[in-house]
Amino acid sequence: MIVKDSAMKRKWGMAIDLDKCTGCGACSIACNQENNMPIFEDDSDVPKRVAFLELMKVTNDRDAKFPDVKTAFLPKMCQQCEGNAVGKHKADPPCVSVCPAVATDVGDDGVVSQIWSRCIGCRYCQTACPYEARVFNWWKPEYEGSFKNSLSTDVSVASRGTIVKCTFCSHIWKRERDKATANGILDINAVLYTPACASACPTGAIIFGDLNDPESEVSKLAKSDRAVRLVNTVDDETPEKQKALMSKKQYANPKVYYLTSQKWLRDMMRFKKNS
Amino acid sequence: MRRSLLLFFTPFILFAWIFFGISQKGCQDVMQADAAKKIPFSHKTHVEKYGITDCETCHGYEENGRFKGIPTVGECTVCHARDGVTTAQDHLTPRKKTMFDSYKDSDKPWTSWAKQPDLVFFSHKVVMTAQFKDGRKKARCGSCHGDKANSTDTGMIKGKMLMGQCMDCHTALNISNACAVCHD
Amino acid sequence: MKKIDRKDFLKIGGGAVVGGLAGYTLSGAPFLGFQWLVEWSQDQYVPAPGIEKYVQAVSDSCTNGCKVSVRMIGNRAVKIESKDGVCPACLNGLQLLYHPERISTPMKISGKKGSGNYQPVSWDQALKDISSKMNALVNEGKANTIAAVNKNESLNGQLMEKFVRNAGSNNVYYEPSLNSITSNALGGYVKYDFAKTDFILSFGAKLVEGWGNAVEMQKQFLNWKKNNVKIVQADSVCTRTGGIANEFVGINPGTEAVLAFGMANYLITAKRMTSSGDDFAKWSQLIINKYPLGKVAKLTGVAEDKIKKLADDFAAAKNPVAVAGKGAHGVSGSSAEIIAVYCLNTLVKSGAATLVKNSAVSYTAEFAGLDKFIKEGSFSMMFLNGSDPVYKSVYGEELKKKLEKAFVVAIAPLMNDSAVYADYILPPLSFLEAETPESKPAVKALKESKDAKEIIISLAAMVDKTKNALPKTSADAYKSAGRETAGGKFSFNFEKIKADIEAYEKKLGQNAEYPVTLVPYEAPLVGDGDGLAFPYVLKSIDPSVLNLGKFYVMMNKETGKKHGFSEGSSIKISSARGKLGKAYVHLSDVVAPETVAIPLGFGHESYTKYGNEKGLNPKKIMTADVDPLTGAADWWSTRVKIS
Repeated sequence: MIVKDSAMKRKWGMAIDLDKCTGCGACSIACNQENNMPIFEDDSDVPKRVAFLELMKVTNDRDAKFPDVKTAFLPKMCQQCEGNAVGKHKADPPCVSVCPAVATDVGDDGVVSQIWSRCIGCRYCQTACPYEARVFNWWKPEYEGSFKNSLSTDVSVASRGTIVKCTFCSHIWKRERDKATANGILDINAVLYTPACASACPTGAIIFGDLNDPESEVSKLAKSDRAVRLVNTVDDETPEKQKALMSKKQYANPKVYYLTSQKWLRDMMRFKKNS
Repeated sequence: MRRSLLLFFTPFILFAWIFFGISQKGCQDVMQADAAKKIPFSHKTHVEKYGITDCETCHGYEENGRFKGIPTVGECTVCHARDGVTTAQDHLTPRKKTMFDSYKDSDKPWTSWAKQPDLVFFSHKVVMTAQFKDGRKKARCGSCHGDKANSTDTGMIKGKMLMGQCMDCHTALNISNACAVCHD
Repeated sequence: MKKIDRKDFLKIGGGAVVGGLAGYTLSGAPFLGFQWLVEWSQDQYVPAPGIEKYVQAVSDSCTNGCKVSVRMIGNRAVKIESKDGVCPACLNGLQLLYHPERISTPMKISGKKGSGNYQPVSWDQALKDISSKMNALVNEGKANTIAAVNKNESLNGQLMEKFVRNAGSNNVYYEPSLNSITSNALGGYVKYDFAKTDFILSFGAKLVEGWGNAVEMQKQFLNWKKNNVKIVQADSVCTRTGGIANEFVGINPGTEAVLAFGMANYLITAKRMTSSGDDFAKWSQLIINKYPLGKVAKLTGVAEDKIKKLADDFAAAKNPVAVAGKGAHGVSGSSAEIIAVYCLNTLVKSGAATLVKNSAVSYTAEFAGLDKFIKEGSFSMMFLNGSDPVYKSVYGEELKKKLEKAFVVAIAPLMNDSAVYADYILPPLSFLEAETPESKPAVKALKESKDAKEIIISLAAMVDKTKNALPKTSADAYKSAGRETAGGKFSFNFEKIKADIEAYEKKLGQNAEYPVTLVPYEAPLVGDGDGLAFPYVLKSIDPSVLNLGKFYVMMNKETGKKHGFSEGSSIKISSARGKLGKAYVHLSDVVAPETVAIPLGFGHESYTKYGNEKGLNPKKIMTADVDPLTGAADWWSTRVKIS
């Protein structure tokens, strides 16, 4: 069966149910393995650590005292910002507009790509990223001895002095696309995939899918009342001001939605005034 | 005046020629364009004599759609049978080739010139199956590999294939040129 | 002919230079050179290509035996995937398989014990040496000086138990686990039916963080959310389980048992509930006399009304269950606590907690448990079957001295703090290389390593007394694997734990010399230390645990202020048993007042270069009172002083 090809209609997005997350860390291990993360003897230099997914521990001890405290985990990766199209400017995530080397760009499926071989290592994008989701290879990625055997051929190992980041495992999409083509399916919109973190999650807390498809689980979740995005620049404003800010070009407009019905967790995802 | 032109251009031409020669030889050495060929092969003979017009006869795909690249000796000996005849009246009969004797079926005696850079996600199958609405193929082997059908050796295409060449085709065929289409 | 003057000479030279450059440029060499330069500057490692395929494997990272599919590129395994959601310990299997420090041949010690100097030997020689040593001991009538410590109750643990018992020794121990300590305290381990319960009262059990059967618990957790099961977590550190609980009851450290006493007291006296366990009358009498609600409230820091409300809610639920068991991986052995919590289940006649046994695993040995054996027992030969008691036991230092004098055989894929004292180290396969009845090996075995089951079987075949005791092949071993059977009758074991119940009061009272309490907590993936050899685990450690090489302990903000600590200031912790090295303070109110919470699983001494010298091992200073029933140390909370 040959299905005719067509333009990409998908817009990948993610919904992470923080109430379902137990903080087991499977997503982190799966991500590191899938993306050939470099191996270091001491990886405790957290700001310079090369990892796409950070399993952040969130507690409400800023606002509460023992025993009214709560603990949760928040898997944080590149939020695949969409930005806003304003006037003649096309929609751009904060990182893409500052890149002088066109090393990072928005793909047809909305995924923000990062091509390390084009990267000149200026780190503007790292500075521009509101989520600290981009990491810089301060050292050459090394894999001691037989660890090299566990490297996937789908993700090329970056060289020193370049920025890398989560791309929603876009290589898995390409892998699936090529597999589909081999089976005669030429319609790229027929290709669905699941990133490593989402498929590793034992509680199904990470849901991945097409935000353009109103029937997909992720777009339903994104519209639910429990959904909250990490956009604290606008969170505390009045509704009118919020609307105005959200239509500005600089608005990040991320495509990762966190789901929680816990008020404290929503509060902790915002800046507290005067704190 | 003519003398001074002569004084300048004689060494100019001489040195241009010498340096061009040396540098090009150097380039070809680096790119191994003249590396010894263990087994001679003529594409032209195979295409014209045996009428193999489909490149995929030898340069096919694995089951999962992965491009095989250069065929193995095992695939050559499907026609050039190891226990076949060494001479035949009919020039269309594939003969046994003694040069395969020292190879196992899984060997690939030819070096692959074209190497896919590690950071490119490229599938021959995808490019070769892409079609226009009327069913014509969007790309042929020759689009990138040149006129192999008329080559009489296993030499490489001159020069490297750069990203621009991919992008030209993508632009012409209205295929997206976003980075993530090929790179990860 | 005119003479060539200086001007002409320059012309000739200029022509040569310009000509040379032109020729060089036109040949394309500079462009090629530039490309080559670019590639050279990006000298990244390119993984070897191969054909992609998926193969099946069965994990043995824990006793659950999850089925996983392994993504292969050529003959390399590059990813472990599963549709059922496996725990991270299983995902780490890949880094164990390809660990550069994996032991690949049998090794014999070639230096002082503990120095880590080994030389490779052949399997024949290793097995011959070990079996002749064992034969000699059996023949001398010293069979009981042979001991074994198993990591868990997996099939190779069961085989090891059979092997050593048949050789004539009663000294087979398991690293303290939820199953082993509850079995010893209750006469069987508790099988919880979490699918049927509507109210879970957890006494510090880290239910969703790896406690019990981690994979199963993740599934149950989703059910609880769906069915609105009420979860109450009583703990002195609010971990993720505290976060998901409907109600978090903050208690003073080490008072889980006291809270259970109080609730039992209330249910017995005010609600007239009784338990069917033996010795209930005596036990209840003691609890009623010793732990009236007022005192319990004072000791636990939970108000009297709150305890009553909790007990009422618990008793009123349709099918409530009370759960004991401490950490996600680390367990502590207080049988008084386990019995008190289980008593609550019997009081309300919970249908969700039954006692069961494994037919192939008996937790009865010469001594009640591993810690007691290390403390009081002696041995001349020791099998360490994947276990690391030197690191995990509070008696690690004592065990080191005993291991130095004995003949020690370790079955271990990586060097660890215990294996470094072994005379012989035998390398087992990782689960990706092992064959099971349901799967073929995913990858070729590394060099000379062998399936742990086969190692034990071939050893047994060479020892005269055990020649016919074990299955002949590892395939046969699967057929003889243990099954779950009904457990024994629940007894309060009053006489044995009487003293311990009374001791709680003393332990929790004011202590001028050691004013604060040290409790452990577990960071994701690190658990109680097994994860630390794997670089991708190191990549996931939160900066509030390990940051820039600094090891952090958590302390309540008020307590920090009171004792003069601020965020990031250095802290020295010492208990009656000794001192810990330098740590740093992370102030956080997820910890109870007057408490210091220290991450478990750090401070290895010989656990590969990735696991070594990171943080501190709190077990070195944790209290070492051995419980009379479980034979394991009750080390979870320790009085310390801080400076």
